[in-house]
Amino acid sequence: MPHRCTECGKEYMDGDMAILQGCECGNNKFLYIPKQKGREVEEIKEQFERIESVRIIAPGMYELNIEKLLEGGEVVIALQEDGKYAVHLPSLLRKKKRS
Amino acid sequence: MNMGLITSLKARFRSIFKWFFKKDKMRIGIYGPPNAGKTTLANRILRDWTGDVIGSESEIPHETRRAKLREGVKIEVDGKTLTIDIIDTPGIATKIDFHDFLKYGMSEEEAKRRAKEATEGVIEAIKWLDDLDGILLVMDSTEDPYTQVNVTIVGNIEARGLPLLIIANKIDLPNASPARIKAAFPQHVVVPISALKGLNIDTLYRTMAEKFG
Ligand SMILES: Nc1nc2c(ncn2[C@@H]2O[C@H](COP(=O)(O)OP(=O)(O)OP(=O)(O)O)[C@@H](O)[C@H]2O)c(=O)[nH]1
Ligand SMILES: [Mg+2]
Ligand SMILES: [Zn+2]
Repeated sequence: MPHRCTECGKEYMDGDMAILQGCECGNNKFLYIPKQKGREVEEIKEQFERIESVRIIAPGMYELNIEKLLEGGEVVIALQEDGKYAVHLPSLLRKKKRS
Repeated sequence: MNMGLITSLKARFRSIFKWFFKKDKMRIGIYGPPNAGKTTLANRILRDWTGDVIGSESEIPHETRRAKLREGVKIEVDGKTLTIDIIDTPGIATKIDFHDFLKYGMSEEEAKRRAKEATEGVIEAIKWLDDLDGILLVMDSTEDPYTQVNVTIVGNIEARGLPLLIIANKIDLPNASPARIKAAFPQHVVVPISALKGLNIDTLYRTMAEKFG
């Protein structure tokens, strides 16, 4: 799944070190680009095989899968956008109703 | 595919190969969790044998964020010379959070940059493993050695068939327990030292000569 630079629009694939280091343009915020419908199944399968070796929880907060990194191969980076970056509106509304 | 099997086969071939083509120069990586005293040890070794230092030591974790190489360090033990390249590596961690740096008076921006560099440092440290002939794994004797990082690294070094010495560092501190490290990794040689005070360093050099020479 590609990550798009929010500044200049350049796209990077999962595992690209630029996601950690920042875009060529100097910006370091990226957005997931929503999947195309037809490729969905294939990409979900791919996701299962590509366990992330580094997870960006939020800017400045990282989780490292040491075992995965030690296995070698490419570094797969995941951006965790839900929860930390974006507010899930329906669940917010539900909470309000209850209280 | 069974990666474990391939890794151990590779390791076996490598050790057979080494037996026939014994190198006269070994590349030794200094590994361990942040703050264990890796750079202090690297500096101690270099100061003793070359008069130099390799990097800055700090109470702030993730002080070393790029691996540093010093080539051709000659260590003399009992009239024999061991020539090694030394690589001081960034501390390996499973979680890096900029909040942990704020208490040292860093700005948020600085702390976030440190966290990002530290993360890249872990990746770099692990990549270096492919190019090494031996490992000094440094642990802080005042802390519980049975951590995910220590256990995972030891297991991986074993699978690679790399010669390993575990360093139980900071034995100058009153609550140090090198015995706890020995109990956690009974299959390995554990050398208790104080990199800072230089305690038991001669034993380390002798053990290195035996293990890596
Ligand atoms: N008391 C005591 N302190 C030590 C010893 N060795 C290192 N330290 C202290 O521990 C702290 C961390 O030392 P470093 O050598 O920077 O540790 P490191 O493993 O290189 O850490 P990173 O580069 O952050 O991964 C410093 O404050 C050192 O002075 C020791 O033998 N005894
Ligand atoms: Mg260091
Ligand atoms: Zn950009």
